[in-house]
Amino acid sequence: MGVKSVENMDRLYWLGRYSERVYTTLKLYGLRFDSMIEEGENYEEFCESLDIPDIYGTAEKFRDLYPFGKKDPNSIYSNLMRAYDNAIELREEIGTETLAYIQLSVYELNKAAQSDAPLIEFQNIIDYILAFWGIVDDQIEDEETRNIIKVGKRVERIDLYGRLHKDKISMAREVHRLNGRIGRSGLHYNKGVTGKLLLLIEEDTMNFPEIVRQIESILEV
Amino acid sequence: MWRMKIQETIDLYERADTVNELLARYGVKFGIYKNNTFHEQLFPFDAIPRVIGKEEFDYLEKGLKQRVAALNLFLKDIYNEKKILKDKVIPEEFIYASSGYLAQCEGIVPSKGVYSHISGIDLVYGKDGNWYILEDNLRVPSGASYPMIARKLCRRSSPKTFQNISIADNRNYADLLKKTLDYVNTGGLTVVLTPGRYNAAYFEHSYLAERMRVPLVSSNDLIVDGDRLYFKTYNGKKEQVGAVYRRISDEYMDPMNFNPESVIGVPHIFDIYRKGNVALVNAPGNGVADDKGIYYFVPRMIKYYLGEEPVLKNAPTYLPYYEEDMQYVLENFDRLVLKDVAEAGGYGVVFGSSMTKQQKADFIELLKKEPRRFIAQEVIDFCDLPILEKGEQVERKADLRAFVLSSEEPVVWKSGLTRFSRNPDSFIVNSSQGGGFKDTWVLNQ
Amino acid sequence: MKKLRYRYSLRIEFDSPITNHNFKVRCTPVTDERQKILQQNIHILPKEFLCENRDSFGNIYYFGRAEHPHNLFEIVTEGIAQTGLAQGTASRESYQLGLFTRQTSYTAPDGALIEFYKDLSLEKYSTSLDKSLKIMDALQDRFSYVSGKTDITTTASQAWNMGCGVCQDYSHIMLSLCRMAGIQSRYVVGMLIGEGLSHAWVEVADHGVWYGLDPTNGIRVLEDHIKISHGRDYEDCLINQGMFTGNARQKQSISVHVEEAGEEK
Repeated sequence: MGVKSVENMDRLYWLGRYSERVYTTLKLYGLRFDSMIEEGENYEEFCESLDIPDIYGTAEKFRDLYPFGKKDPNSIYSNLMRAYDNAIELREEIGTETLAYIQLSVYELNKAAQSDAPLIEFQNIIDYILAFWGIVDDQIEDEETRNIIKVGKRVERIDLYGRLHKDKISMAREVHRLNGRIGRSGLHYNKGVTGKLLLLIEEDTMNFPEIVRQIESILEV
Repeated sequence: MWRMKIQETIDLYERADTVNELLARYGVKFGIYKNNTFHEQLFPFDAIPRVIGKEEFDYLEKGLKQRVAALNLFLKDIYNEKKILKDKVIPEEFIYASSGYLAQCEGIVPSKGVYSHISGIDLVYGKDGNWYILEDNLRVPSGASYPMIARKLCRRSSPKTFQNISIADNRNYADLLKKTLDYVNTGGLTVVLTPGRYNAAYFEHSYLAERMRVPLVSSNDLIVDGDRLYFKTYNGKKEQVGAVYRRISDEYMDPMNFNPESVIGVPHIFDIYRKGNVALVNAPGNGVADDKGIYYFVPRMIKYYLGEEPVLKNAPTYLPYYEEDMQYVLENFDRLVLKDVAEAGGYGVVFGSSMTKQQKADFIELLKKEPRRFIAQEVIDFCDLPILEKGEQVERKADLRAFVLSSEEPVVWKSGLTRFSRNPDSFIVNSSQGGGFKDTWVLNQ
Repeated sequence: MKKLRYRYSLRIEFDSPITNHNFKVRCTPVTDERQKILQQNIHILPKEFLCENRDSFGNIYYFGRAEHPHNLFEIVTEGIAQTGLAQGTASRESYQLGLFTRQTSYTAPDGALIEFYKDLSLEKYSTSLDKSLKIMDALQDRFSYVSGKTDITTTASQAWNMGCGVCQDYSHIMLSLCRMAGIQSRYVVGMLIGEGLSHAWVEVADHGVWYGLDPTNGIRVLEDHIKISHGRDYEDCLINQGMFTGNARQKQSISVHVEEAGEEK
């Protein structure tokens, strides 16, 4: 469309970030869930690694509240609703077909909350989010619009990888992807940050706290 | 009125659930406030369409164009020359007593002289085989987006049906609307202005913006600078705006000219509209023409401005303001429905037959004291439409909102929003009361 | 005929800076049949953007916005007007003036005012102007000028029940009575010869002419008044409207000065 408001730029960026957060945390949760089937696995470590407060108390509560908690701001539900809240106000920017995948994810998460085997629905949500990114790439004509969503997604992934202490190769890949994209998004960003990130991924031992600190300030101009 | 042969459309009925699933997929919802919290609800769709034959639509089209043409002329006249008052076709107190009349609009002729760009005219089909106009909506009529997207999804769900029956395409609504907006655009972007996502019709605002490929904006995105309106973009530039399809009521549109408490308006937008530097769609002040009291005079307006006999009938209406009508109302009180002109949304409507003796006496006293405040109407026995409920066909009350778009030439959209009531005894087809909607088919032959 | 030099000034001081100040001011006299504006200067501060326009009643107004922080808002209009050029000004056709026979929230009468109206027995007078003069006389007898008792929100009925008020109240009561009599009448804001605040009076339509009547002073409006604006009531003639961002207390001061101009050309 060419002209974008401040608010829509912001919404596109955060739609990218929250869709990624839901995607990655769902996958991680799926791994945890499996090992929690027999016994109460140590979920505290999970909270710690994601840097979220442990408000759950027991593994059972965690199993229920972390994905579905409506009042827990860190739950997958809350993050998906934030993605939805941004998407719903972007219908004319991203298109009804694109918006549908976020909408479908919301329906599916509500279904999962009622299910004994929520991993099945979670898989569907992961599929929807992958389809969402696919359609963003395939159907959104405006290059900037596409790029802002993707920048949001990359920024979120670097942030999550930093907290999860992901390996150097994965981290380097994400930083390079972001670096190639952000200049074509029309977003105002701090060029010093991308420079620093490129240096940080060259180091032998990853300085994760610094990477997280840097990435979170990328839009502070 | 047409009734489809069941065999021809049975495939579509069988796929009603599929269509509703698709409507859910695309978030075809309306917003509603319950206990002060906002909820989004799916708008239930019934697969049995209202079908209007070609000849019948031609007749409706003629009548609707005529009515909207007269209403536009009336608005121009009433805010400028007031010839209709000089010739005493409408008593002036009906104009100035109307809450939709805005003195601030005196002397303004909007871009290209169009006042009601989008008119939503509500009709019902009577058992006597006549269409009756129930109400004109000339401010921000909503609802066109629902049949528009429903048609798309019905075609996807049951292509066979649309192969067999030749139905006028209604998916061109956004093109018609865009043309209407571009026609009055004074130079610059065309935008849709929404009060925000917590508005009941937010789906429609965003869907129409998407289909027209124009920005959907909120008041924060717009600014008046000098005597022009601009859209503020992310990179600090300002793009001039020439037409605003505003889905905000007059009162909240501009805190510097109307309600100063409004936080969803754009300060000074009305000042530059007055200068002719932006088109506001629909024009502010249109409420004076779709008022319940003014409704009575629309057939007279048609004769007065166009010199023609009205094609479409009003529901038989009496104005106790006139001695003769008062007499009739008193004599036939039990058969009539009485409406308070100042009330809206189903409030202030009472049936003579349902009153106790005391209530009736009190009401008549009030009526004699304030005759101008009320209109009385014959209760129309209107045709019910079939809907599907748990696989069974049952009959329900339904109305039709037809959309007339006025640019160079008025165009009647070959479709409309058919709403039906959920309860068998209810006359209320409002979506907030649990009602649903149907597609409206206009046949090509 | 008189030549009057006038100066209208409005200052609003804010005790902390405000931003995004949208404003609208209506304080500029217009040339009509009775008065001719010979020269005029308008000064508005801050001046980031400013547009001139006419409202639905034909009054001149200025609108604009000052985005940057400021502590002072000031308008000064000064100029020279020739007055008394005619008895009144031309009105539109009578059927176009229905708006001015309707009571507004300021003028709607209550019981006491209606009683007073009935006692006036206006049937004896044939023209709207004569009826209005009678109303003005009666008002002079029964209402007295006291400032500080009423404020800008006081309605005609409220003021009437107090028995005293200022020019705004005189005018609203007069309009209420005129409109009960079906006389097309409107509220006027302007300036009166001398020193003080802005003034208010009324105009009544009679056979195609708007005549000015000043009920506060019990006189016809001829040479000593400079008209700024008119409307249905006080609200249509607001001199200044504004909305801004900031939590500031404001102090407003208005001064009006009108005197006869010398003979210099």
